[in-house]
Amino acid sequence: MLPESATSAESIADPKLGSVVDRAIARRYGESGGEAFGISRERFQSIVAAVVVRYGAGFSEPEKVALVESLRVEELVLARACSAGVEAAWDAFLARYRAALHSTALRLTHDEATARELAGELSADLYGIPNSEGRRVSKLDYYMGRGSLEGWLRTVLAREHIDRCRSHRNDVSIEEQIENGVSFAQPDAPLAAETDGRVGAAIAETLAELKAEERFLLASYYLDQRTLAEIGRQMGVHESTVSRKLDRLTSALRKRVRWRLQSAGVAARRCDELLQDLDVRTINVDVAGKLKQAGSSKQESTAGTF
Amino acid sequence: MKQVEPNPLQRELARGPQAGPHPDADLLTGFAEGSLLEREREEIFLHLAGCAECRELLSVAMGAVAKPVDESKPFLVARSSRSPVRTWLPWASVAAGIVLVCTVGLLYRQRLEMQEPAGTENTAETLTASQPMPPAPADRGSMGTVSAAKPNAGKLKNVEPEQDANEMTPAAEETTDDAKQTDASGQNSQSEAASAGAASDKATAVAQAPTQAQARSQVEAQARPQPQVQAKAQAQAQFESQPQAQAQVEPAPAFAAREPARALGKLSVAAASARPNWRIDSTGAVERSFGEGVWQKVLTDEKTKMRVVSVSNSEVWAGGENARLYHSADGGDTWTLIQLPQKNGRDHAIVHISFQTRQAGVVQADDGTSWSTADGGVSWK
Repeated sequence: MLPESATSAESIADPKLGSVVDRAIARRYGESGGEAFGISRERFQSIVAAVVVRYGAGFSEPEKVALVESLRVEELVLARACSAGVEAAWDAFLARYRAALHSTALRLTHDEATARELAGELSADLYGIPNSEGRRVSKLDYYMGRGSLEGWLRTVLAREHIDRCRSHRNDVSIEEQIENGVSFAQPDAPLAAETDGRVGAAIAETLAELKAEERFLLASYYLDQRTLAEIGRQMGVHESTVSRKLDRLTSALRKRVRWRLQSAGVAARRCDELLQDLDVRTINVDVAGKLKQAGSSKQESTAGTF
Repeated sequence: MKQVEPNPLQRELARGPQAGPHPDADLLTGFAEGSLLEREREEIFLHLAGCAECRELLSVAMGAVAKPVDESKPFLVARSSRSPVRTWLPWASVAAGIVLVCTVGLLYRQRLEMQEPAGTENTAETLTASQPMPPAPADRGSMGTVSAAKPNAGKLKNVEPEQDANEMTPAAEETTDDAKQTDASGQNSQSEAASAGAASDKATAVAQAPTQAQARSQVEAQARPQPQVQAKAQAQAQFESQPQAQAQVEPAPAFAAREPARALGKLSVAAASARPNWRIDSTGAVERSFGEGVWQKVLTDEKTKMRVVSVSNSEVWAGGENARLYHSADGGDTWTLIQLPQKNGRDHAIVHISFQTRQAGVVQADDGTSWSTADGGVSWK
């Protein structure tokens, strides 16, 4: 018997998704294994409907069906059963994810003690902390089954790790800052003025024409200085594929920028001089400073959903 | 602090459009695992292109993936996707190379064996002291005979093969009348004794040459239908004086036609077993062997140290200290002591024997003294 602790996502779920989507949800109940954890068919319908409502706003019916079919319903049911306090679900969860949680934390922190601490904190959040009403709220309620539960735990751990690093960075004492020589550090130098405004304009226009994936590739490679393997892992493709895409992309980018510059009346030789520095990988660039600038500005303007 | 180096592309990328709300951990995970719908994926790409924070989060999270699952997969797939042909092709090439080398080696060896008789028919064998010497077909000499061996010296256990060989040798005798006979000096008889075994194999092969050539010509003649008649006629002409021997050696035509190679092999073995090898041991004694490692001394009454043995067919010459020179015309069964005329005293040792033909030869001593004969050793000057 599940407790009354329904998640906020489920409470706002619209049960009227259409007969096609409902049938698609009903079809997936059998493979969810909800019966083993005491989750009824109706309860399962409600859980999945909440996911569809959350992510499928504006989706067509076939897209909603595709969304339902792409869900990890078994792990979604396990997460909901755990947050509901079902012992069997917790046993299954710990058996499957406890070791993975610790090993992921260790790969993130590269330190046994820190990894133990990080994994312990997340485990407590997953088990649930009583709220002001005395009802336990588990972080597993936020899992929606869009990816694997292990991958979700990894992402949550990574975010916790990044937050801890940022918070610990602010804990440095004044003495340590003086010792490290950063107490009197000069502020970041402003970006130097462009030598030729036409180049920036041509690049901006060209970048605006690119697809989102191409902009992500360029940003990851040229701005974040990620390796091909890292980008490949993020996109789920092999690094050689990333390399080929980048080669094609930069080649096309050069051609388009050059065409724009020549259209603006820039001589061919001058175009070559201006585009000489387009490959920023060979230039010493303070990417971290720029990322910090961009991050702080966006953090103020956007609010996280997690 | 690093000095910022402006770059147009980087600057414009950083100035990109502001990203919307951050996707949650579910969407980022689904994006990395490829489980999102296409439109969702596009939205995440759009956000990531303008959000360094989410790019960092995604990179850190995906960097914590266990590597065997993520990075080794393409490697393993690439390895396992190798076609079976590509897997065994290198080994097959190596095996083919080995087979080719072995085949060429065998053919080369066979060719050498085939060529050796032709090359040695007109050349006498030259062995120094302690080297085994092959025998030659019997050629009875006409000089006064001094039996230098015991009665059982020539009665070795390979008597029958020897008889076969002698019966086959008249043809070779005819063809080798003009044979050039050379000898070898026995200066280093002591040290060369150690290499007697290795030399004996080669000497045996060379010594078998005339008989092998005859046997091969017979068998080939019998094996080929058309040349068979011609070869048989030649063989009959050659062996006219030894009809019985030919009858013994020549296999039945039917058998020869079916298995010429086997017949040739049998003949070669029979001929080889009848041909003794020669050497001079460390004590200076001349020894003869018919194979199987059994060496028997000849010239047992001779106490003088022999230094050189020269063999051509059945003609065997042995020379040693005190100008002692022996001659056997029957392959070592009987020996004749040759009295060389005195030159510069009697203490020189014969170290070199060379016969241009059966009749004409030169014997040389270690001090340079030489004797020559033009009548097969009857007279020397």
